[in-house]
Amino acid sequence: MKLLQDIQNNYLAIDFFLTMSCNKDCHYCTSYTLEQRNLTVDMEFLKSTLHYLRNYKCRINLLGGEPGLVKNLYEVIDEVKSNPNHVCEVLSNSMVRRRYPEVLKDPDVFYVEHMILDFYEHEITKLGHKSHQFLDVNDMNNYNLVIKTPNFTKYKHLYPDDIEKLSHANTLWKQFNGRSPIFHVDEQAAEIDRKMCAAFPMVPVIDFEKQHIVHCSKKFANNTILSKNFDLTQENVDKMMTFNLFKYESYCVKCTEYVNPKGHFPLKKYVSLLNV
Amino acid sequence: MIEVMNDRIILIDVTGNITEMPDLTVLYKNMKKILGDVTIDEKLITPIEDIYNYIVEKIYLMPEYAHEASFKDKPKEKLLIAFNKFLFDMIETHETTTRHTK
Repeated sequence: MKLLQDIQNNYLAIDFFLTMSCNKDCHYCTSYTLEQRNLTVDMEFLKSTLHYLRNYKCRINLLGGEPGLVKNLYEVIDEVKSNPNHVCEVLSNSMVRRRYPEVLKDPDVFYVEHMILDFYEHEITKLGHKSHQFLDVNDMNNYNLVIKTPNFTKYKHLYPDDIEKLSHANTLWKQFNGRSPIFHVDEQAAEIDRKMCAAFPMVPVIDFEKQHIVHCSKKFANNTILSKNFDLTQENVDKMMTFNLFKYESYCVKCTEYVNPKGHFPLKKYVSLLNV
Repeated sequence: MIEVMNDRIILIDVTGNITEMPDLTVLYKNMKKILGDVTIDEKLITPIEDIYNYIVEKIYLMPEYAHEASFKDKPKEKLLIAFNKFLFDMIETHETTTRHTK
């Protein structure tokens, strides 16, 4: 079984936006539509994408939209797992737990559940089914994800029981990324960190609807400035994985996506990636 | 002209004045830690990927980011090019600033 820290230190992450469809409309999300479309992943496209990536160690994040809506998710996961260079991660609002429970029983799939949301101005509410509790400590690589949105920070003291349930090693705390035009974001990483992020952003996207590479998930959709995109070819994938495809763009300059001040991955990680 | 004296980066101007560049000395020492031998040569100008320039800039801005790292020969060469580019850019900026403020 792989460990999360090993994956974070040694693998580059790539988002596979399997579908744009979602059953929720989180205010800070730019990558969804309530229209239900493209719910069956084109396996030929998936196989060719994975083939281009076959020689690179990467963490394939299956998301969207909501991957739990995808009709052939098990088939997709099996395909991703078929290459030992690839680690499969699934990010869901808990629909995967309901529709594809076997995912949570497989420690080789990193299951990340984003179930807490400051959906309303005055309270925190949960995504997902009411009967679902936050994930407990486990050794199955199942994780809660909490985005520290402004309202989460403001109201968390009203929910001590929930916070206590989330306070363990299987909860990932993510800095609020300021995608919403409504909220003011006053935190921006140093320019050099954004430059390093731009070289291999957090994270590039494979768009399964338009079937191309997108530079950065932050600018993926619903923004006035769209992220650059590239044809999905072996040449472009090779360039992408060797830091030759992406540049520091004008939208990186203004980016408010939080980047760890120490750099978005440590020097040791660059060693393993640049020594290829 | 740039000289390395006792592992320190020294700038010698046309009149022979010597100025030590402490920030660049720290960078030089850190690059030595990563690369082993460090050659200073303005002619190292082969085009390289931006990521190497960013790494050098990052090591300059945050010296604690520099750990011993076992890069292979090719990435080492590129890091050395990036280091030289950064070094001479900084010196040029310093000289321009000095000239305009004297």
